Amino acid sequence: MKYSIFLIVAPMAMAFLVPFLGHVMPALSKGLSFLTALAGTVLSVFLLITYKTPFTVIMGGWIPPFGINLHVDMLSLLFATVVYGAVTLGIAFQLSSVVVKKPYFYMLILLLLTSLNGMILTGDLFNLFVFMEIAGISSWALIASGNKTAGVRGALQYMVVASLASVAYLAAIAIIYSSTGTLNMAQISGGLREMNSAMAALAVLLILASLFTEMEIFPFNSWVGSAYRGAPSSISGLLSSAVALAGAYAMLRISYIVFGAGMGNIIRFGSFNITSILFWMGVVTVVTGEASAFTQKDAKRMLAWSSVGQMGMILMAIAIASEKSIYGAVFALITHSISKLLLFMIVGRLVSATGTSDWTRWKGIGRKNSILGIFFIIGALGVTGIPLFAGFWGKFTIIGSAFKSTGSSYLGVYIILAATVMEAVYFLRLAHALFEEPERKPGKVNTGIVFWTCTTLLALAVVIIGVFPAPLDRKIKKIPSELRGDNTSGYISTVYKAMGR
Amino acid sequence: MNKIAAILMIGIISYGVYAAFSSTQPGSKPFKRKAQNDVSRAYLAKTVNGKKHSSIMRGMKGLENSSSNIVTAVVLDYRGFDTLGEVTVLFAAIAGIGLLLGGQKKRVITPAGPIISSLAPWIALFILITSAYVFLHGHLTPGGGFPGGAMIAAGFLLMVLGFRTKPSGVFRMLESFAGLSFVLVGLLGFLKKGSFLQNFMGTGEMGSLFGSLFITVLYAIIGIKVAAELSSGFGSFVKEDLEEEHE
Amino acid sequence: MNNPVFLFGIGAFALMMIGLYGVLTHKNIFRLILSLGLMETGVNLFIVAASYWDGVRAPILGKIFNVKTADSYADPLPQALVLTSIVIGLGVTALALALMIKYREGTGTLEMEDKREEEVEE
Repeated sequence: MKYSIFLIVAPMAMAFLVPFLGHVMPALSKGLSFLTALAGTVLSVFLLITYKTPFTVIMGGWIPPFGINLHVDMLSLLFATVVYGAVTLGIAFQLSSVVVKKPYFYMLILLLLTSLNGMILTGDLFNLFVFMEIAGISSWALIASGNKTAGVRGALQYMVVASLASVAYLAAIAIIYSSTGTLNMAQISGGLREMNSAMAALAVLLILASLFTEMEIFPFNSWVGSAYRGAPSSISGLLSSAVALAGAYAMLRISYIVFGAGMGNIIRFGSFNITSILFWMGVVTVVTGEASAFTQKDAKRMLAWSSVGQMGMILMAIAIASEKSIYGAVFALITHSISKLLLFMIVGRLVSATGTSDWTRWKGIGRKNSILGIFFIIGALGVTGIPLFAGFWGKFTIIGSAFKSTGSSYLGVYIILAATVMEAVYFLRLAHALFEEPERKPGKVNTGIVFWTCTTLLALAVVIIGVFPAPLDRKIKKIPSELRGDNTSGYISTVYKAMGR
Repeated sequence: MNKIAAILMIGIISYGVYAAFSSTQPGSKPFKRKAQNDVSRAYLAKTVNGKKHSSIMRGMKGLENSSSNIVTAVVLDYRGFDTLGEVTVLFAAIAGIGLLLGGQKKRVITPAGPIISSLAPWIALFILITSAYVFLHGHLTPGGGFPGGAMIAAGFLLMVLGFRTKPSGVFRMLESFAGLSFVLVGLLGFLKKGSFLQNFMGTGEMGSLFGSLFITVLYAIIGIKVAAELSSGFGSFVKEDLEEEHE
Repeated sequence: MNNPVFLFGIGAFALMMIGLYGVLTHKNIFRLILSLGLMETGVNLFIVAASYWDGVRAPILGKIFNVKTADSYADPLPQALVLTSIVIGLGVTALALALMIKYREGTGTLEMEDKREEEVEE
């Protein structure tokens, strides 16, 4: 199972090869980028099927607190598979587009893929920072890669916020390393409890600020609207389905493993309580995100803010920290990735057909392209969480866990229900516009076999997961027990075993 | 208004940091260290693999790592995976610059004065020799592949100033070749020893020039890569500059 | 207060705060990038300073190294981390400058302002 390093190394090696090939034959380098992502998807699915127990992969032959280790368990494999699948479809979508991109564009997507998998697999706090920076740099360049200035503006806004976040993260690393003497996530978990509590609270706040930026949590998400709008649609889709997913993964991992010794055990320092910070940030993010999405006339901004709302909901689930809420959070993250990628693909094609991203001017375009319109509705229902569509199970479980929890978490039930109503309204408003009487003759939407394959796969996934959640359910059920600190197959015990203790 | 808000925010952060540092509760704190922790002690004494030595002398053999410069040992051996990521960051940044600024506009070249153009090759030669020294001695003295590569790039910059030479696609090739070799070294470690980026070349005499071949090889790769990267990145920028001079 | 560690720490913190002030108050992209660079420098100094103690020397082993004297050497790990973070900072700054140039080409200005009606592509 040590072959899981190829999840990180294969796209990296291919990315290094692209300038070489791009010089000789650009078409080959683009095709190979797609094939690398596809091969990685196959590998991650294979690892997921053959997976039995969590294991630690040692890098450089040095045992964990001295060297860097990768940690592979159900959570990381599941998320790596989703990232690989999303990036493969994203590359295919971009290749089928009329806008021709340079080989460097695909190389940066491969680097993004590398870094997201690194973020997901690594078990070292500083290594996570390095991969976060690769993800940041490649996504800024990708966002700005279009011909229009909107993308450059979005990328600059993202760059400023993310650089501030990385400074905060590094400062936290300095504090943590100098006080606990280690960078390994499993060891820091114990070390944070021996730190001076005010100092530990400072470090925790700094790390949270940077993870909130990765996860698009209010108030660190001012860049979201312009970055998603200015980016090419394949990249907006990847930002929402893969980058935010990896950010949420880092949040999940760090809040349960580093800040808490296992699930439901998130630390408190006297009156300083991380759980309530996470919960209230989640509430504020859901409210502001859905409200901004509601007011948008720009379809891409609307989808972006809807992602923010979803991330807020997931943060609330992380804060509730019960077995059910983790199950719900992971389920909701995966289904959100699938549905949002589908929506961004459709919206991208509609933008290029109509020349505008203002959805009020898209009237009637769904009449001529009814399958496209139906796929849009499927994606929208998938995000909203209507029964029989994929988003339902995650949202339903989160609401159920909020219902059972004590204290102010009970509020989550109302917040999520209200957010669902708002989502349903603004998505169906757009869907309604698509099927309205056209004001002028709608343009032709550029579709092709590749586009239909990608969207059909995603739409089928939304429906199939919604109707038969059992296969995914079996996988996700394992995750809460692996995140616990008190059993022998948990994260911390696995890493300590690799350390030889 | 903006300024007042900024000062207020900085005040809040400063107060928070002050409160954290002046807290008298029990527990470990930064800026209070007096000794090595377990991790750094093992790096210094080279006991990560559990083999203890009471002292380490120059010329000793059979150590787990034979670099005198412990920072280099950490960067390339113990935490080599971070360095692969670091190299990738630079690669991504330069590729991003190429993607953003890779315009197809015409370039205007003006010749430099006689002083620069006659001296540039000689100075560049000395820079090249010094930088080769810097990255070959990375495991013995401060320095290594990153400063060495930056020095080569500086020599190249001098040549561009002197002759207005065209930064060619060779750098891109070199860059991807060096990046691939880094991954290849890692994979060889994986095939031979079972762990990615593991030292498969063995360790030699502590403190001798070719005592830690693994580090020397990696630093040479990094040096070439950084030099090619900075040069080609500079090339992407210089196109714009040369153009604006004549507008 | 005579301890140089405190001077390093306070200097690092001051650099970070000056940079933060610059980021919060300026709209000019070049100044934003400069301020971010200042913050990066500050945090690099902070990493080294947080693991520094008085009277240590560089972690380079000389002719003979007695394990008992290990505490008189500086901790090598933060220095390795700083090496990595400096290179990352370089990459970020270079890309930010490229973004700035492209922004200027598109808008003719270096000021950040939010225009919503720009064209978007697929």
